[in-house]
Amino acid sequence: MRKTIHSASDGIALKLKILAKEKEDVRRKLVVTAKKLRLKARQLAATAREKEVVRRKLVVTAREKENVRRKLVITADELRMSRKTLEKKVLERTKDLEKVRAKDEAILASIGEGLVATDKNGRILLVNKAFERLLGWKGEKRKGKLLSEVIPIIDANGKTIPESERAVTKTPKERSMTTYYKRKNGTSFPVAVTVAPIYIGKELIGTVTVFRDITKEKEIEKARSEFMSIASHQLRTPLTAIRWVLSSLKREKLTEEQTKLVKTAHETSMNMASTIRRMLMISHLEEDGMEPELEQVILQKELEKITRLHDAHRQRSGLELALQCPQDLMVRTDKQLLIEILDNLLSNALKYTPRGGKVRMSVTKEKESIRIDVADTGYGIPQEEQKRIPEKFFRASNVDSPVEAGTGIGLYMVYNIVRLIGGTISFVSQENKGTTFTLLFPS
Amino acid sequence: MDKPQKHVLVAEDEAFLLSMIRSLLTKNGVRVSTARDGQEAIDSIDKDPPDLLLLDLLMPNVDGFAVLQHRKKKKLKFPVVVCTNLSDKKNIIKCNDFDVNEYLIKSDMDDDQIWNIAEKYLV
Repeated sequence: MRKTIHSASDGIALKLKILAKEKEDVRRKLVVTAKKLRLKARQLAATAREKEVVRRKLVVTAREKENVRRKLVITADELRMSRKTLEKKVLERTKDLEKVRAKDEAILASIGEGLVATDKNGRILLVNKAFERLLGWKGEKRKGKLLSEVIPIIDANGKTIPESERAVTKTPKERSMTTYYKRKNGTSFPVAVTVAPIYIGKELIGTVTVFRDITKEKEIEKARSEFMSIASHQLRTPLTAIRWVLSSLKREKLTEEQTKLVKTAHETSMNMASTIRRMLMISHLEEDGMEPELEQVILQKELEKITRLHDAHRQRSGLELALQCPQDLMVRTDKQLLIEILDNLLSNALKYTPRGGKVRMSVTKEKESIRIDVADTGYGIPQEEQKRIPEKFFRASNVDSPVEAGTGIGLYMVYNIVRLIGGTISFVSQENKGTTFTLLFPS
Repeated sequence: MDKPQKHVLVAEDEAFLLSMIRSLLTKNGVRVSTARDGQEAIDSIDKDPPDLLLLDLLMPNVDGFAVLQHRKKKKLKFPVVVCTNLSDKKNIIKCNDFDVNEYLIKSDMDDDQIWNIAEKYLV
């Protein structure tokens, strides 16, 4: 029994041991589980923390987004505003520009002169109303066409003037020859043309041509020159009779007193003839029709002729005349015009030099020009009046002697003729010492 | 006389000037015909061609240029000295085209100067 009991108690103890062991296992398991749980809990906590961070970040981002959105709204408003302002401004500016354009166009349309602008290749960019009216072309249809083809330029004989000569800017004074523009219908009219280049910065972008119908001016000019021609003819015819009679009387046997009178009268008639000649020449000079006619001139021969013309007057006035000129010196110039210049200078020198004085005419050949000095020992020109010498009708105040009546057209004419033959003229003068005129002209 | 007398035709509408030139030429031994306008000059040329023509340009009815035209048409070679009081360039050019030998402005010359020039064409 005991054994049984023993064995029974042994069994219980085993069972207990087993139980204890199981318990221990469970505990161990629990510990492990607890460990796992703690780990999990830690992980969860970490995840929760991360989530929180993300959440917070999201909140911040949302806030930022909101801010941006607000800003965008503001910017959009601002943009709308500025667009409106801009539109308004553009509209205003366009209106201004249109006004300016309309004004410019009105100005262009209103000027009486024809106007045409071309690009640098000579193609028409724009024309004004007067262009259309004067030429009969519609500007819009001619745009892009060559100006030289739209308006042929011709001379008085209907001959076309070449392209090379039309681009030159010339005022009517500079252009010795009248030119004509041909209209669409083939008729033509005389024009005064100014061509000017158009530059933007330094770049030539085209030209602007302004032209004017000068038919009226030409008619007036023609009437004037016809009047001058007839008037001078009518003056010259009776003068010829007077001069010839006096010249033939001079050859007759007369008393000393009569000779003196006839000679003076004859010289007066000669002076009158030369005044008419000078007046006519000035009239030609002031028109635009005078052009020098170049020919070979033997200077000495011509100078001798000129001085001979003044011999009588010179001897009577008791003046000495010296002529110095290289022999056989030839010059290519307008003979008549040169004679006119020198005759005037010599005549003045003799006229304004008192008895016993000297007049010297000397020629020197310089590099490419001829220099002629006409020097006298005469009254001279007062310093303060010297710059008025080239004026028409100017007479120095110290030579108002009624005997030596001058017209004040001689030097005016000389200055103009000198320009015509491409020369220059200058003088030095001292009162009561004399005057030297120096003519320089191309040889 | 050794040499035959030279014949000069003077065409000039101004009677006084005409008489002066005539007496000047006659004095110098020249036979003178006169014409008071271009037509008379043309008739005279056809009837009795001169050795020299002194020709005014501005004359009534038929002017000096018509005379020059006639001389050209008839291929006449006698020299012509124009004596006029017209000095317009266009007239001078026109005369040059007609092969005029001299172009003189009357009021710029003395009567004997005209003879001096005319004489050259009568040698």
